[in-house]
Amino acid sequence: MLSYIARRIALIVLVLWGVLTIVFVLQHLSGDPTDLLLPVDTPEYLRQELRHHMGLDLPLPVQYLRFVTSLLRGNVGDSYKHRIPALALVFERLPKTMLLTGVSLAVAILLSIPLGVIAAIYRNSWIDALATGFSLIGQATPVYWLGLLLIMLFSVKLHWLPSMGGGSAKALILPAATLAVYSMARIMRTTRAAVLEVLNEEHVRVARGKGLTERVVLVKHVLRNAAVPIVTIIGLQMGGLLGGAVITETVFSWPGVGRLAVNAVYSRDFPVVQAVTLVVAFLFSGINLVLDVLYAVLNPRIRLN
Amino acid sequence: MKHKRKLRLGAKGATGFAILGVVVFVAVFAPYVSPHDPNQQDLRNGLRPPAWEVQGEMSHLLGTDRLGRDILSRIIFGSRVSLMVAVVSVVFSGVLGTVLGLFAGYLGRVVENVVMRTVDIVLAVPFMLLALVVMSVLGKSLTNLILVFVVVTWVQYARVAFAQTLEVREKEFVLASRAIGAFGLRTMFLHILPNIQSPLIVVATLNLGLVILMESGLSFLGLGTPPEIPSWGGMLQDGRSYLNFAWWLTTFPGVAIVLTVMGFNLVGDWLRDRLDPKI
Repeated sequence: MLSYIARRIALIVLVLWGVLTIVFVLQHLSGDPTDLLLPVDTPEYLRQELRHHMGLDLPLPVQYLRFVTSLLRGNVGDSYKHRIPALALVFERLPKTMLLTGVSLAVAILLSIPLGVIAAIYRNSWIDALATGFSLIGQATPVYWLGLLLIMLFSVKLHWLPSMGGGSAKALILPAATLAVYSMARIMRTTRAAVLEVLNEEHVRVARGKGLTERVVLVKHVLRNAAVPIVTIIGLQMGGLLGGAVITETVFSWPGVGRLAVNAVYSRDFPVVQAVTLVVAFLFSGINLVLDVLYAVLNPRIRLN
Repeated sequence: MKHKRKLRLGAKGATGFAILGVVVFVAVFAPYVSPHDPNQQDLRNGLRPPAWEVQGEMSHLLGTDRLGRDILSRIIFGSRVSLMVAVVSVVFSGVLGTVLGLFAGYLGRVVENVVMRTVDIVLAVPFMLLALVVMSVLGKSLTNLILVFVVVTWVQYARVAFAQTLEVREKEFVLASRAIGAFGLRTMFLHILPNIQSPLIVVATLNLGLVILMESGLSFLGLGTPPEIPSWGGMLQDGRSYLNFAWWLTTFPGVAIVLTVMGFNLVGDWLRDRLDPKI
């Protein structure tokens, strides 16, 4: 188990190195940052000076080495716009995004797993039809569009909830609901399919044949075996939610990492874009590591590989 | 039992194909189907509500935007961008991912490590963020949009092709092909590929919907389709400033997206059931 975790961590290090290399290359493709930092009419010699100061006149491999070493010291560079370390900006916003995605995921899990199980048990009933229809539409709905519709209904028409801002708990409701629907559709569908598959298996029939109550069969025999695909989709959802947060936060002006990234892209504030990308990749890899360990606990067969 | 299943289209498949049929028809014959030129402005007729509302006009069935452009016509022409970007990027990323996954699975060793670790790297950044970053560097254009989707989606085909190739590689017919001295390429494309194509086709179909969602999202953020081309995401971006009083600007393009993506998902599900009842 320990060597398994060690191998996974080595892989994460490799992945992060790859991400930062891509980010480095993209930064160099994105043009000359002095265009953004200085007024248009700055004389060329001043530009040269700034380039020299920033190390942009060095050979590319040297710049790459400097980029990597300063990153190891926890420095991605300062935001062009805010003139403070980009990583600090990201960490300042991160709790807001964690709150938003965490609440959405919790709501989605709490609602969609029971619904998925019920839909599977009462297959072809009206509940199943409703759940399947919901997940079908939910999977085809752009997150941001759902957000706009909710704003039109609850903020513009009914005046119940604020459409933007990140201060109050009330402002959290709409963006969290938007993101939750996105995940619910997917988690429910997977839960339903996983439970349906296990329900047809022999060991479930044996368990019933032994005279176990339906509840014991469900909890001990069905859910335990259906858990692996459900955990997989939840793990995938975390990545999806972080991506979905980018656009949802923009719609609701939620002051999280996603909105920071979008605004940084608009103002071509590349250090911030880099910082967001690296932090998100790091988080995402960490989550996946935890999930992989969880799998190994849930399903002993995986440990062998 | 199995044969019946293969022949039946079913409610899901039928609905999916019907939706896609309409969307494709409308996209192909857009100039003949649409009531107006999608870019024709008529400032005096700006922000007109749909025909059934009090201020509505029959000539603008779904209303007009701020510049007086006909919403229905723009939705009809918007389908072209969505479908074109989706189909082209899925073809390119499908071919690229399949070939790389096939090589990785068949050759193993260095090729496998390079390809599959690259897959891990791409998968470590959420799609939308990666697409946003790449798009911001490349700049707005349809070609760049397609390029971005190829960059972020080829990994899915590579993963599936890799896993499937590993499974098929040790089968007798592959060993036999190698035993009679067939070249690696011949074995890969003539013997392995036909046996792993079903799940890849399913992934491709579902990805058509996914790309349409991402394209509309990027266009909504102003980083996708250039504004001079009518697109569903771009229309939603325009409508965002008028949420307070022009609900039609936001509602109808979204419905178009949902229906189209649902069409692809339904067909994808149907294909999955049909091609491989196991999954």
